[in-house]
Amino acid sequence: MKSFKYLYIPLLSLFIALSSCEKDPQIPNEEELITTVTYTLTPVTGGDPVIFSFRDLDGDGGQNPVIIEGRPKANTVYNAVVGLYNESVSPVDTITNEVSEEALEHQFFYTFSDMNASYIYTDLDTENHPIGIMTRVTTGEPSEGLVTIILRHLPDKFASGVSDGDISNAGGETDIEVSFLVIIE
Amino acid sequence: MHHSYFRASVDRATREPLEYTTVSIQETNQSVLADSAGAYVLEGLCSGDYHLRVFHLGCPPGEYFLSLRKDTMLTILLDHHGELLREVVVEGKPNSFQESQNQQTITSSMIRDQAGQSLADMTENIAGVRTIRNGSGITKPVIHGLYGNRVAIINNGLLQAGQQWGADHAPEIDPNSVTVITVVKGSDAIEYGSQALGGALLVEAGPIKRDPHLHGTFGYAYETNGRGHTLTGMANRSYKTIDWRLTGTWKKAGDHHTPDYFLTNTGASELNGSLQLVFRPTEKVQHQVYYSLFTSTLGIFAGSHISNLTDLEEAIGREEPFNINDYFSYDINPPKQEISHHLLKYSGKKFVDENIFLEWTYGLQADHRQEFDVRRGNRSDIPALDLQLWSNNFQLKYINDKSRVRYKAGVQATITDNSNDYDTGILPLIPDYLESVTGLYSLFQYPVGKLVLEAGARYDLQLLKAWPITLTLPREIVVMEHVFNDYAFSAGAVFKATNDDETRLQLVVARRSPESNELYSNGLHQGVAGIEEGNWLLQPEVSFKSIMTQALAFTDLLHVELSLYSHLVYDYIYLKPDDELRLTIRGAFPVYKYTQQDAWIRGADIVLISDFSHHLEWNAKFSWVRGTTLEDGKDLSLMPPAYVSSSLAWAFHDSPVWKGSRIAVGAEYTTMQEHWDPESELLAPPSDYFLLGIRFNTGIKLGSRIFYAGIAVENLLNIRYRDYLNRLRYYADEQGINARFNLRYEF
Repeated sequence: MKSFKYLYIPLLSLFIALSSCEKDPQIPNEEELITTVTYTLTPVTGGDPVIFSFRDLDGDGGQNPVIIEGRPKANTVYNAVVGLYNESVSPVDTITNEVSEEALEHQFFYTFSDMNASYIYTDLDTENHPIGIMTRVTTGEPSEGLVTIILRHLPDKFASGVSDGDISNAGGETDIEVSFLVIIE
Repeated sequence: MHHSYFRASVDRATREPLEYTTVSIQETNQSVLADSAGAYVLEGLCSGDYHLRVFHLGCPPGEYFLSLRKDTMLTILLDHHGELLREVVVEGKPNSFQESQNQQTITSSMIRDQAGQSLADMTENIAGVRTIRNGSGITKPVIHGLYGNRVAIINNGLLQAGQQWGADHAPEIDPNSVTVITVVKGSDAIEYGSQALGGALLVEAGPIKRDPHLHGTFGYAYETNGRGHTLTGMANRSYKTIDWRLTGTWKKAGDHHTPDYFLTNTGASELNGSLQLVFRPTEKVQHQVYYSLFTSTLGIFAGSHISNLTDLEEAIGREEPFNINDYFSYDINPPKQEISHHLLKYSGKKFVDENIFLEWTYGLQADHRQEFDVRRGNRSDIPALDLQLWSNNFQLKYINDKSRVRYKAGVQATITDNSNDYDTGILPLIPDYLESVTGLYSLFQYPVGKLVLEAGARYDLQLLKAWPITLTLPREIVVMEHVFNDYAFSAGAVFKATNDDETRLQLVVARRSPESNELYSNGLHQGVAGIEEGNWLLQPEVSFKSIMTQALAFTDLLHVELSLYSHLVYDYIYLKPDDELRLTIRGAFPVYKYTQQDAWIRGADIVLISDFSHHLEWNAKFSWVRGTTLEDGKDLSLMPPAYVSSSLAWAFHDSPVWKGSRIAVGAEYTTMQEHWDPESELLAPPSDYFLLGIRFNTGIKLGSRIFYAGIAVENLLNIRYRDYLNRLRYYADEQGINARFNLRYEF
């Protein structure tokens, strides 16, 4: 039993040695991160665009996202474009390019609730299904509601209703889901 | 007529166990096959005179005469060559030191009959043990309601050093490479460290039989559900001073199937091997080198591939899951896990005397875990999580089993180095860390007549140094240091009035310090749409566990074992949901934060065994466990619901060709988990279910060769059900009917 004491000494010194040990971790390059969603409505007849944006530069957790909401005009037709960016890297990475490169695997869905507005897709992938980066939005009478923009990765674009913007049969994984308050003036 | 019971083990002149010896009683035509440890039990014999016949392949049969008057332990020394056969009857004294522990063992023959199943699945045969799972391939044992960081998995004497914290991280161990699996339910934190607070799972390659000829097994198993093929092989040989054993396993399974649809991407593949070398330079010294490699690729069900709460809610309401194919495939695509685990161990043993020895061990483990996700921009081939863990372990143990007070004492030191690969492009779920644990322990046993008293103590000094990355910008690496003192004390008593009437009491106080995932985990858990956050201010939890076990025989017919336990854990570390959802660019997520609160886990296990005759055996198991927080009485999540299982078996007479044939019908009823906290569950637990299964095993003797064959059918009625402990319960049903065939040749 005595011998334990002597054996414990090297073990203890091992322990002390560890406290001076170092590792050299690195911060990963979060190139896949999407920090920013913009939704820009430009009147087809020209004029100033209405801009919505959702920015969460530090990703999930950390600081809360910053949301900017715009006010479109009533009874107007807009060309709408959604933009995805990774602003955590320099230069800023435009993720929308990645989405259009993989158009067959992606689709944006929009829901307008409690307001007078509707949209149609104005872009197509190589199999003639919508992608949804570009849409045309038509507003009605002044009203107030929510627009929810959802980007699905690997949806079933052939499922019923999906090409018309009905998300319920789409499946896949949500890459983006942001909501903006819209006040149609 | 007086009921009696006798138990024996077959040894060779060397006192090493001899595997697969058949012992038959001429008078009753009863016959049993000893397991790999040479042990067998013949129960339900009347007092009287018996002629025993002992068979071992390649040996002439040995004949013995036994006058049985009371419970007897018989050791037969059998020489493989048949020249020397003699008999020694040993009365009473059991091989100590495991006595007051609450433990159950799964033997080699059970492991082989279940070839193809995971380690955790095999442990479910034991009352009080359930599994949490992620689909059909990823299973993890739950002992008395606890798992993960609270169940130590001891792989050949070393604490398994993988990413044990993850609920979807199965133990990286091939059951074919081991001969004994032991579940320790008493919180035996004393020898196994603070991780054994809730129990321990011990797996052992076991001793190599001292047989100068080459022996081994080849096995093949096929499962209809998932079309899984498993090939296993084992060979061993003993020389004068060297023994060796080699094992290998290859496994390939594809998509499993519920009664209605395929569970796409739930395939698995494994390639494992192990080599064990034992050197015996003298009778008193033994050196052992053991190496094992475990590699596996596991698919994660495609229908669980969702990312936010809206997706989850949508998936929950569906008749059929999203993303499933209407055809079978062996393909494994992201999301998937790729794991490799190396274990290298050297240990030496020096006998001072027959029951006194000193053992020293060095162990090295390397665990590599890669988890792949469906990612944008051709990144699916880049793991989303890539962890490399190295562990070095030193141990010294001294056992004295000979003195009046038997004791065991040891020192252990472990250094763990965990690193992330930063090419993932994703903030790591757990940070890089270095951890050292240095511990001292001692255990004492004092037999006084029919009573054995036990006491033990342990102390650990733990240092953790972690390098987490900040969540805020700019990203920075922070260096964090923690020093924890863990301790454990135990006291126990076993009172053995008769062989059938035994009372065991055990009390354990143990302190477990938080692990790096509890302190620092940060990130999204894909399949459950929740953000998990660690808390670096966590303090160690202190547990008080008491177990009372009573074994009884009401009549000769019925053996009962009742186990009651109460487990108070002060500052119990658990995930608590936040009041508010967190808004992210992918929608809103519930946030689960590691919190501490006093908790109380209590439960009961009951086992009933009845031998109606030599042919007919019935058994039943019942388990119940409940866990609540003490302050506000909220239910802890993932507590197994109460369940009862029963099986009725019929053993056939041996014929010249058919040996040890046995058919068993089993039923299992799992209740609905009524005790759940709506605040921490996204969905009510699934309803109760009843499963039926059937199993037939036999040995076929062709000439001098014996082939073992078995058929087991699970979920015979092809029931649709969901399991509360399966993470995939939100998305899909459990697998439907499955027939498992297995064929084995032993040489």
